[in-house]
Amino acid sequence: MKKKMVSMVLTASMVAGVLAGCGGAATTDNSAASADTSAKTEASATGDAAASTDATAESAGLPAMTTDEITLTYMHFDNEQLVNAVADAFMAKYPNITVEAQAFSTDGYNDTLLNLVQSGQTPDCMMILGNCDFALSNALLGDMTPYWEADPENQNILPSINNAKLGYYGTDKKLATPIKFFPDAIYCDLNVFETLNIEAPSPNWTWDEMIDSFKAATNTDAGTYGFNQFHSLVTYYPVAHGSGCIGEFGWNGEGYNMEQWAAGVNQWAELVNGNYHAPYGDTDAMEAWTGDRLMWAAYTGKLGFQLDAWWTYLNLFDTPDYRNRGMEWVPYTTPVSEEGYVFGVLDFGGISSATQYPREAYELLKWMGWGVEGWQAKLDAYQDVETYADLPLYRQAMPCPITMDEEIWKEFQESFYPTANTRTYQSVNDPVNGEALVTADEDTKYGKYFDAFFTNCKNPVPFGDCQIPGFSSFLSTSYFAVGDTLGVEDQVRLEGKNANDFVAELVQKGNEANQAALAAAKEAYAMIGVELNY
Amino acid sequence: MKKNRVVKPGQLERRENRVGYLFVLPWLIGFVALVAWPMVQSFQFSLNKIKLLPQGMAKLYVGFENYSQIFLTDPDFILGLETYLMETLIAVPVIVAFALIISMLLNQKIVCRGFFRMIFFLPIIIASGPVMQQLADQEAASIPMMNVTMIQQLLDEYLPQVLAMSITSVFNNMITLLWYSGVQILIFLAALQKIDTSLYEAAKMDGGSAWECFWKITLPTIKPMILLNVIYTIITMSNNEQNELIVLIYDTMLSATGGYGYASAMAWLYSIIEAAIVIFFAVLIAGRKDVYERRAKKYRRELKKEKRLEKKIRKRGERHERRYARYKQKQSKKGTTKI
Repeated sequence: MKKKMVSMVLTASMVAGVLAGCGGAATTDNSAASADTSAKTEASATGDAAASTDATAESAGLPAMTTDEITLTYMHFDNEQLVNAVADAFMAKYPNITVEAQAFSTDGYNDTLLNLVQSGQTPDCMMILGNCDFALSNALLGDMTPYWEADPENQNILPSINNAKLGYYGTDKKLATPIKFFPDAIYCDLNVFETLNIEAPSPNWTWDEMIDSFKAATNTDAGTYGFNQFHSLVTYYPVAHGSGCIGEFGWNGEGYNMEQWAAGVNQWAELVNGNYHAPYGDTDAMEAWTGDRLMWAAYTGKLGFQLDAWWTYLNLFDTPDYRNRGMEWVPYTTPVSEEGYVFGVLDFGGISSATQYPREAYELLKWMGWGVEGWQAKLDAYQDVETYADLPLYRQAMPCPITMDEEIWKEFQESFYPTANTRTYQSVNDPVNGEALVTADEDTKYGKYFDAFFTNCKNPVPFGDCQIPGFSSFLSTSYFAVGDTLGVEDQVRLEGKNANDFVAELVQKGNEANQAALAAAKEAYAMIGVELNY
Repeated sequence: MKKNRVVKPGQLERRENRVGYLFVLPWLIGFVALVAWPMVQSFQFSLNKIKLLPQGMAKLYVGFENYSQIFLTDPDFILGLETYLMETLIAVPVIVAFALIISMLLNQKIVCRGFFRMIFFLPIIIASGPVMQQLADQEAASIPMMNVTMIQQLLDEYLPQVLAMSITSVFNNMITLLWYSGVQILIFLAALQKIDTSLYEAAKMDGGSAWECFWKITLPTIKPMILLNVIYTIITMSNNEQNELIVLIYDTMLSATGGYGYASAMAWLYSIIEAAIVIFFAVLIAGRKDVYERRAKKYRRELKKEKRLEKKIRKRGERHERRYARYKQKQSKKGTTKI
């Protein structure tokens, strides 16, 4: 009997497990929305103090904000405390609008967004994580062209956003816009250059000077390597060289021009095979170099340059762990192109194509992303002395301003980073150790590098997947390894092939993928009555 | 006086049937709502291009275009299928054999038998889903002492690459595969405990060794359970979160170039391959007769032959008897006339 009981319990748990696994997510037609997207908001204007918001904007053609009691939802993968602080400031200015911020982890973020859409809970404003295709092919993003073009504040933002028409995706509609900006940084460890007794390169370096610096920092006797990359030279090369290039692989807004890409891949392969690149993790070479197979090259103190993202500075390089090992990391931008472009990480956001309050949703998105008022709220929030998970708010992946407002930039730079200029703002106090985040010594030693970096970084072009439709599918089907065939870059590096031989085929496939993705987007937008031209 | 109720013939059976249906009704409802309907819907999706618009789901009928697209433009899926097929064909026998060995060990009279049984079932409870993924990510899925690189080099030299990769993958995920054996061990254990011990006693009295007992008593008796475990293993391996094809289908479902329709077509193709593997193993195991079955079949055949012969003889005898009776009758009629 006892045995029977045990076996029954075990069987029941097994059956329950199998049933739980088999339970398919039944899809139900989304009954939500189908709201008139344009109507409601352009109505009432007068009277209320909240409604008399931005006189300049309104006089320039932006419709007035509603005075009705409404609720806007904002879905994001940003820092929760920061977004809540900006939302509070927004609600203080527009007391009739309630903002419900929905924070989600980056892990599976786009899937979550689509699930919300499918269940009829599309947020009014949303961030898009990386790949733009899923949002375009499902017509998630609403057309904000009339608001964008009528808003004078948009003339005073990072120039590349308008010059490269970011967020238009090659169409005639502004469907999204950058709302977080992390300039890419090529971090230089000044300590390595001091040890090798050579001079650190100029912050306004050219591409060739950068490569020469990588080579100069490689010294077998001292056990140093020139560079290690998180973001790739292959990504940077076309942006730094191509005329008219506004994205990866020589993207010019309409198609790919991969000649510069090929030159970049060949040079990268040459540098890696020439041992100017630090050993990769989990390799015998890394073990031989550091004694630790899993060591990160940038933690060794024997690396000249680390090609990385902006958040690495406050997260790692500016922490006692790294400073106490003698490392002195300062950022350089990617070499500036003829048009003034550099490479940067931009996270995009947009308003829902089904929102009932597009004007208000646009305003909220502006606050969260590029607006001066929103940025002022963020800078105030960064002064918060509380720690979250033992870290102050500003150390939790702080992006750079998207607005070009001088005061905002000055406060941003001087509060958190070294500067050689006379300070108008004092450095924040690090609540962890109670000391100023930036000391006078650091200003003297690193200030000129940071000043040059912030001067040069303001014209960023982003990764391909967030601005080029079809980019992700192009990479997965034609560029990365498929089955036994190595990816294109590895074929060049490991098999000694010439990247130029791939150009014609890749250009064709890349353009085809782009056209297919645009066709999918056009089809989806036609279903909701929006004509998308490209 | 109370009159006894008369039960009509068949009434009791009908009543029992009704109760039976009542008992399986919850399962039937669950099956229709959670399995059959989603399957129908999934097939319907696979014939459409689907957009998840904020205004609602939009479908565009495309016939079998999604299926043809998979073969024409999706190298990942086709290559994934090939790898899956090879890995499953190699891994299933490994898991089932391991489960059988462990269950036989756990069926012995050993100290702390209950504890060991629990140990082998524990991974099923704790190392499922995300936990398993984490362990795999932290490279805890392979046996650290095993030099997989060397094995891979060796296999690459002598075997075709597809086969070498599949076998290497089994070695790479050895721990994961062994952790999949918990339920199978339990099923084998139950089957082993059901075997009549007198069979072993009789075999030992006749001088049968343990090896002979395994091949001639244990294995034939638990054969249905081997088939059950093989099917269970294939289904588990094919539908878990570590399966690359499942991940690909899931990603495609949410991707721009894919969508629900395309992913459903992928899922259907995958199901067909999965079903083919199940049928392959079922035919391989259920179709194979052991020595007893072969003897029994031969005996039954001989018995039938004998019966046929008996029947033939009997019929021939009856025929002769009838013929003889007619002859006698004729003779007696002749005698009467003469008189």
